[in-house]
Amino acid sequence: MRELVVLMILMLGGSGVLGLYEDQAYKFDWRKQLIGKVEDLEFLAAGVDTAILVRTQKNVLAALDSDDGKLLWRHKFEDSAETGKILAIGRLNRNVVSVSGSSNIFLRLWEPLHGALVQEHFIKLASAPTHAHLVDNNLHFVFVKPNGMDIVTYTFDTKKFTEGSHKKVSTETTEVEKCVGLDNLLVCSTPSGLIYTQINSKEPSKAEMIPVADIQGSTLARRGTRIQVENSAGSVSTFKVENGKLVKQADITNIVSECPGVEVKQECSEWGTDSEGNKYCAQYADNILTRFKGEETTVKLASYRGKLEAVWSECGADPQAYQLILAFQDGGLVSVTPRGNIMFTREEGLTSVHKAEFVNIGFEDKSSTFGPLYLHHENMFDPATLAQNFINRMKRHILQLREFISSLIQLKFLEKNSAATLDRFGLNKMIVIATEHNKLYGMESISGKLMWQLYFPGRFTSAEGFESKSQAYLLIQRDGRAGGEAQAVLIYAHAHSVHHMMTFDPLTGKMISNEPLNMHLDQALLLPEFSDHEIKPILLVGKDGNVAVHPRAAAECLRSGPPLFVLSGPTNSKLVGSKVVPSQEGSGVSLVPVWSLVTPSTEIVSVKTRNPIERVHSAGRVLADRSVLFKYMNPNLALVAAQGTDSSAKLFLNIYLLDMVTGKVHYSATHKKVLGPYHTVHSENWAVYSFYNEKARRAELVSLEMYEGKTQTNATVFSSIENKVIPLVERQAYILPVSDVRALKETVTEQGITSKHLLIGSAVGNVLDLPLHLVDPRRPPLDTPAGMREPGIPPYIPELPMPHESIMNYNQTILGMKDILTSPSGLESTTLVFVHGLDLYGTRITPSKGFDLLKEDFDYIMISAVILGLVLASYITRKLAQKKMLTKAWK
Amino acid sequence: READPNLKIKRSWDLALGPFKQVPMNLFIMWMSGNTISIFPIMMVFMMMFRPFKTLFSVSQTFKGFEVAGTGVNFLGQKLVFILGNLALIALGMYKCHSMGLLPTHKSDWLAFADPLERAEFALGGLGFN
Repeated sequence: MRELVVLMILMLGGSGVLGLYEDQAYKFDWRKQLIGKVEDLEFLAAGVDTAILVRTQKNVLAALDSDDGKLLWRHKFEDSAETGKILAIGRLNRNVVSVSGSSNIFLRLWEPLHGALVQEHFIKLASAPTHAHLVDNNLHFVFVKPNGMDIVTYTFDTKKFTEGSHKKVSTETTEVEKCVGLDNLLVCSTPSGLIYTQINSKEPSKAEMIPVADIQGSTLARRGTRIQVENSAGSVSTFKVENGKLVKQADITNIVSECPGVEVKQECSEWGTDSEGNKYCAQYADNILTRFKGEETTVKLASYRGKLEAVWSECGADPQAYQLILAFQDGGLVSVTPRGNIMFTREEGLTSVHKAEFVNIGFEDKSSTFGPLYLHHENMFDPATLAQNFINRMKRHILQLREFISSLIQLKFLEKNSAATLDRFGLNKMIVIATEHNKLYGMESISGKLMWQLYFPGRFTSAEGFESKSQAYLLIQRDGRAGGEAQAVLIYAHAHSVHHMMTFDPLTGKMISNEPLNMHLDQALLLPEFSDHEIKPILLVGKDGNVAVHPRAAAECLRSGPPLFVLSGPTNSKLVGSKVVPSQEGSGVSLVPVWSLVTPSTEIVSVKTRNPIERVHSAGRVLADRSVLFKYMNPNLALVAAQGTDSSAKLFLNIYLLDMVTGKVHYSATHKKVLGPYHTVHSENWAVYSFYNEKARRAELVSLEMYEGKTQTNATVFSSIENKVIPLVERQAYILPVSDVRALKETVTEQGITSKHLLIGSAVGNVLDLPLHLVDPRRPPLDTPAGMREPGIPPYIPELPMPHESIMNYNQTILGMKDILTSPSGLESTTLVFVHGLDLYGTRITPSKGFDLLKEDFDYIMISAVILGLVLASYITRKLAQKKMLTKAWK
Repeated sequence: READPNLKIKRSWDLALGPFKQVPMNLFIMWMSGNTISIFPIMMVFMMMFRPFKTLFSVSQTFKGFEVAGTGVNFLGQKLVFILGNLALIALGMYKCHSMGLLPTHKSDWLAFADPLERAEFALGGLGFN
C-alpha cells in the first residue's frame, strides 16, 4: 500500500500547470515597493497636496506623499551608471526635470502628479561630466580637465534644448569630489578645501579657494541659502554668499536646512580612534535635537540609525509649521513634525540587501517552557527520552488549557503581544536581513512586517560583478525550534577596524556581543551540528591558513567527529582543499593542505555546494520497467564556474564538478562566446547553470544530472575517499524564455518528498516557477516511440515554455531583482520564498499542489452538520426499530 | 442410522478436495477482473486471498464434525490435502497480485525504505572575502 502512495505522489509531481485562483491573489504573499537610499529631495506641489520628489542611489526618480510617505509614482532607470545614473533633479514651471546618464545625457520633463513623461531631450557629450547643475531652465555641466574646469551651459524647456555658453575656469587642483550650486556660484569640494566660481558669466575665470582642514568632500551640501561641509571629526563648516563671494559663518555649527531658522544637531555619545589615529564618532546619540526660532525639541528615534546624513525641510504657508525630513546612514528616511513626533519612516536600506536567511521561530511561547521543547533527535527512540518528551508535552497542553480557560474568564482572548505571530505549521519564519547600509533587520515572512532592527558599524564597497564576493557572513547557529535562545552571528568588516563578529538573537534582535577577530579573515563556515552541542560551531579561516573554532570548546567535538575538509581559494584561479586537524590537546585547530587545483588563465567566479539542510528522499529514479537508476549523491561535490577570455577577446565559461574532499574533477565542460552573469544551482544529484550565449543571442540553461547506474555500491555510507564510482553525467541544454536572468534558485522542503521547482527571476520583474522535469536531461528525443519513453517527462524541445500562469508573482512586479531565497516550512508541501532587489516580495508556493493540506474551501460546517445529522438519525432510527420490535413481540 | 465409516472417509475426502475444486472458478473470476489497479479487482483479489488464509487457521474446526471421540481414526491425510488446497488458492491470489504489479519484487519497491546516506567526511567552503 505504501508503494502505491509513493507512486501516486511521484505521478502527482508530473503535472505542470500551477496558477493561483483569482480569490487567492494577495492572500499568501506581500510586496514592499521601495525606492533606494535618498540622495536628493525636493518639495513640490502635485495637485492639491505637496509631494516629495526624490532621487535615489538606485537610479530611481520617485514622488512620495508628504504626509504618509507613500509612493505616488516612481521611475527606475537603468542599473548601469552610464545610462541610468540620475545627475540632477529640478523644477521648471509645473514640471519636474531629471537629468540622467553620463556621456549620453537624457533630460526628461515629467508631470508631477502621475509621473507621466512630458518631454525627453537627448544630447551626446564629448565626455562624462563630473557634475550637472540645474537652475530653472539652465543646465550646467562641469567637466574637470587637467588644467581646470569647463562649464558648459544648456537651456531647455518643454520644446527645445539648446546649447548655450562654454566657460573655462582655471584651478590649481584637479581632484574635484563633489559640486553644488548656490545662487550664481558653483562650489566644489577638493581634498584641501572648497573652490568656487561664478557660473553665469561667460568669460573665463579663476576659481577661488577656501581651505578647510580635514574636509570630507562627499558631505558638501547646499542647504537653503547656505553651503555646509563636514570634516572628518564631524564638525560642520557653514558658508554663505556675500557679494558674489563665499564667506564662512563661524557662528553656525549645526546643520541648517531650507526652512530659515531650522537647525538640527546630532550629538556624538561615544568617540573612537581608528587604526590611523583619527578620531571618529563610534556611537551617535539616540535623539536628534532640532531648534526652530529659539525653541529646542528632541526627536526620539525608535531605533539607532547611525549618522544623520542629510536634512531637508519645508516651511509652507504657516510660518510656525515646518516639515523636516532626515536621511540617515542606514537608508532610513524619517519625517518629523515641529513637535518632534515622527510622521512617517521609510526603510530604504532594504533595497541593498547583502545577505538574508530564514530562521525558524518555533511554535511555543517562550515564556511558558519547561526547558527544551524536545530532546535531541539522535536518541529519539530511546525510551527514557520518549517518556520525557511525552510528559513535557502533557504538561504543556495542561498549561495551555489552563491559560485558555483563564483568558476566557477574564475576556482578554484578543490580546496581541508584540512577539511574532506563532503558528503551528511553521509557515511563519523570521527573515534576518543584513544590508549594505550597516543594518540588520528581522522581518516576518508571512506579512513582511519588520520586527526588529539592529545597527552594526560595517563597511561595504559596492562591487560590480556577477557573483561579487561576500563582504559579510550571516550564519545562524541555532534557531528557535530547540526551545532555548536562538543565536546567529554576523561577521563583517568594521568601518574603522578589522573584521568583527557580532552575536545576536535573530528572533528578537538583541545583541549579545560584538568582538573583533584577530585574524585576517578569508571565510567563516558554519559547521554541522554535533550531537553534544546544540549550537553549530563556526570555523574561522584566515587568509594565511590559520584557523580557529568559535566557540573554543567545540574543538573537542572536532576531535571526535567525522573528518572535516575546507575548500578555499587563495588566488583567483586556484582552489586548495585542506583537512581540519584539531591539535592533540587544547583547542587549537590547523589546516593541512591536501590537494590543489589550478585553472590557468581563467578566474573562478563561483563555487556552489549543496544546501546543507536539504534531504533527499529517494536514492534513485524509478524507470518504466520498475528498475532503479541510482543517483550519484556525493554530498561533498561542488559546482565550480570559471571564466576566461580567449584569443578573440570573447569570454568563455568552464564548469567543473569537483569533489571537495579529494579534489577529483568528475565532470568538466566549456562554453565559448558567453556573457555573464552566470547563475548556478546545485542540489541533490543535479545541477543547473545559466549564461547568455552571445553567438545565438539568447539566454541558455544547461542541466546536469549524475547517476551511479543500476546498482548501488554502498547504500549506507558515502565516503569520498573510498568511493571508486565514476558518475554517469547526463546533460542537456535548453533555451530560456527570459533573456536577462537575475536569480536562479530551487525550492527546498523539509523531507525532500515534494517535487522540486526552479525559480527563475528576470530583470523584467517576474519570477518563473518552472517544474524541474522540464529541464530534465533525460528528456527523450521527439522521435522515440511511445513505448520507450520514460513516463512523466515530456519529449525534448529546446525552448522552455513560459506559461503566464506559472509566473509566481502574477501582477506584483519586482523591479531590480537581485536574488531569490527559498526555505522549507513546517509543512512538507510548502516552500517559503523571499525575493529581494529594489522591491521585496515574500510568498509561499506548493510545488506539488499542497498534497498535505485541506483544500481552501473545505466545508467544515457542512460536513459537521451532515455527521451530526446522521448520528441523530441513526439514534432515532434505532429507537424506532426497538419500539417496533417490542410491539411486534407483544402481538 | 449407522454412520458408515467409509461414508465418513469419503465425505472427509470431499471436504479436503474442496479447495482444489475452487481453483478453476477463482481463475476465471480473476481473469475477468483484469490487470488494472482499481477498486473492484483489488477487492476481489484480496477477498480471494483472505478466505483461504482464514480457513487455514480453522482446519481442525472444519474436520471436527468427522471426529468421533474414542476411535483412533485421524484425518491427517485429509487435513494435509485441505491445507495444500488452500495454499494453492493463496498461490493463485499471489500470482494475480504479481501480474498486477503489486508484489515488491523489484528494487524500486524498496526504494522508499532506504535510510538516508550517512556522510563519512564533511566538506565546506567556497570563495571568501575579497
